[in-house]
Amino acid sequence: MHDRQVRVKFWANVALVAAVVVLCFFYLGLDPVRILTAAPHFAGYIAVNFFPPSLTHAPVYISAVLHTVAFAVVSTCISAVLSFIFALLMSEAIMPWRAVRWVTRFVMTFVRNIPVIIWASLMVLVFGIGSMVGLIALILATTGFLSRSYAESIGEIAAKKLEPLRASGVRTLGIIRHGLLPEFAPAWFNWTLFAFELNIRASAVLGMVGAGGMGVMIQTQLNLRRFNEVATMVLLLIFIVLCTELAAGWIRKKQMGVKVPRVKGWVLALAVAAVFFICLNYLNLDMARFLNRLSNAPRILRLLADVNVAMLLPGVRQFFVSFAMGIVGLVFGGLLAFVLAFCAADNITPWRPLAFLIKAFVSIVRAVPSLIIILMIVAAIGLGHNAGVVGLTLSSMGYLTKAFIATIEEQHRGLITAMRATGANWGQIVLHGLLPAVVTGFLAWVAIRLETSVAESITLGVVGAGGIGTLLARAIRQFDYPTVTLLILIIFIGMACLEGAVSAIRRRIF
Amino acid sequence: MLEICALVKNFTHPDTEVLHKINLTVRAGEFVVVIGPSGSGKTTLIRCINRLTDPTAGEIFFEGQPTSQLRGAKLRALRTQIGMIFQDYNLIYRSNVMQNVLHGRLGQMGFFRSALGLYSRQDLREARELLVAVGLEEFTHNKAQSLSGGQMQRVGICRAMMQNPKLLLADEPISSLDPASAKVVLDQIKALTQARGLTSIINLHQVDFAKAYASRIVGLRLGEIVFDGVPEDLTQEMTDYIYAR
Repeated sequence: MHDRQVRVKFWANVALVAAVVVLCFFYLGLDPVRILTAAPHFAGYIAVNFFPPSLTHAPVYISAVLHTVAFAVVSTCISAVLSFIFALLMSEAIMPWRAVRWVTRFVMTFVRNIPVIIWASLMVLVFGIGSMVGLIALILATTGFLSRSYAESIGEIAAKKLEPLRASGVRTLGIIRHGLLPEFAPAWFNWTLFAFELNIRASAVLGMVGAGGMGVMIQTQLNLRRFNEVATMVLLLIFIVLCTELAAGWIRKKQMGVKVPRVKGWVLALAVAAVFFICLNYLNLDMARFLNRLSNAPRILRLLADVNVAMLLPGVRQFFVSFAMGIVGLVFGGLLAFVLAFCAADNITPWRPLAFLIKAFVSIVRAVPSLIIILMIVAAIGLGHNAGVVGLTLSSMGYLTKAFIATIEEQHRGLITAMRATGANWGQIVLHGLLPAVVTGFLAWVAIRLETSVAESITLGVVGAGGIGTLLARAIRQFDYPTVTLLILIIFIGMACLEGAVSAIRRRIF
Repeated sequence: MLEICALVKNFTHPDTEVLHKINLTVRAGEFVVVIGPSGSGKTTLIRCINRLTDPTAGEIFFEGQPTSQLRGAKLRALRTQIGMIFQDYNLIYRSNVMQNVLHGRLGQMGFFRSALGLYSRQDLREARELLVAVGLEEFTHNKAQSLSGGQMQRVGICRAMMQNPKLLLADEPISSLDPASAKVVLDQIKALTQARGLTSIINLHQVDFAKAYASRIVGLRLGEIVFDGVPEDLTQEMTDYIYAR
């Protein structure tokens, strides 16, 4: 392609994205002034109202935070085992029957595309409130996510490595045990660790829909405007998330390149099992109550079998509201991340202390679940789409800044040195040297984030930020089962389309 | 020992006929080298023999027994008698060299013994002898990923030999190797198969290697056999024709 054509295509794409954002802006009736002033307003509000954190109830909160961690451990362990089985059932190399592969794949796509908070609300609707339903919701969402990730890794291994075993007449079980397991172990470990980090945040918010954990405390204290109490909990949560992230990073580093003798594998398995049972015991699950309610489930499932078609149009419209909020939040967050990343990446930062500050700020933002951020923003600037967009912008910014920084830091050092040697300044190096090298990587990250952003936007609706989530929460409160079913179907179909579109975009970018 | 009758293979994506009514009879003890350009159907041909690829039409008889309808346990039983060496070695990188060699025996073990990896003393001794034969005994306990390409392929040879196969298939075993390693690998394949009186079918790209090692050369062009004879009969014109675009 000619230079000119490339330029025209580039600006056409920029114009397209800008048009979509402007359209979304009007569609949502957003107020640019309020959004632009939200950040300083929010920061001031936090500084005045949330500090100093109250320490009077700290012991209660610490136990709540430990509960959150235990939730994440138990759900991640169970999901890791379940997901492996489902991933095997989805894999062409292991499962010869196409029908089984397709059914598993479909069920997992369905499970994955309903956000965890919505699973939790549904579970509460069917089984009533309690920690057991929270655990099940968390397991469902994690299994949906992990089975897909596992299946991708297994597919890569199966394409080559398993053929010799098959060619020498080994049974499927032998192929799994001697071919797949050794090759798959590192991917298994890494994905599971990643899911654990996500689950800590997720289990912190489950309580907001009555599914156990610390979420309900945060929400209650926010509603009572006891912000100093909220501050304590949020700080504890930030602390625990940062700790797990550090630990996970340390384990990953340690795991690479270190030879682990066979015995240690068993020790590790035993240790994980021990931690699992300690956590399970600590959770004190309300199993009896859950089993009691189980007899109720068939009746409610029958009620859910109905679909309220009359709500189809409003439902779809509200899905687009959620979608639009997700897009606007993603684009704003992406733009902020773009600027921040070039200031904070180690190899190009104009000033080291600035890089450190930005990285610390981003880590803290990332540590707080977006649902909690949004509730704090709602407290500061009031309910509605504006608050939703600001919250989504913050969470997308946190995620993308980290991803962008990693992409920039991966770039070859020589690239920057060579440009510095010609006397180019910071702006010139970024614009002409780094930008062309990182732009596809950035786009890929944005595409990956798109799904999460829309899913978060739907989730935020459940706590009142508008969109299809708000509609769903209302239907659940009013026990309007046919509407619930319809909205779930809309969310599933919409999210599945989005997932398809994102994988198509990723294929085109790479 | 192997009789291929009117073998046809079509692929659906994209819609192409890769093999065109191939007829080929291989006698016991032959060292057959199949040559031909990329896309001529060499790989598909040998993958049809152990049914890693299912033929579209035609039949392959292994020791007089038709193979195209075999399923499940019977298919596995056929495969245990046919060893295979792959272009990219396809070792399990994170397992050690010994385990990779022993994988060749798994297909012949019972359900529980294979699932748990309970190899017999006899198996371990044979594996060790094979590693000595290819000169890799000092790497027995190294992870497969730490080996060089040539070493990996020699482990691949041991794995195939560990099956005690009657027929050895090799799909471009030296394409990813430098000339020196390539020679070592072919020497070892030739030596081990001769010592055991094995029948071999080897796909190769390099005509000079084919002439040096084969007892019989088969030339494949656009899915058809255009040459079948002893190396001495393969003229320069024929080679040019086989590889002509």
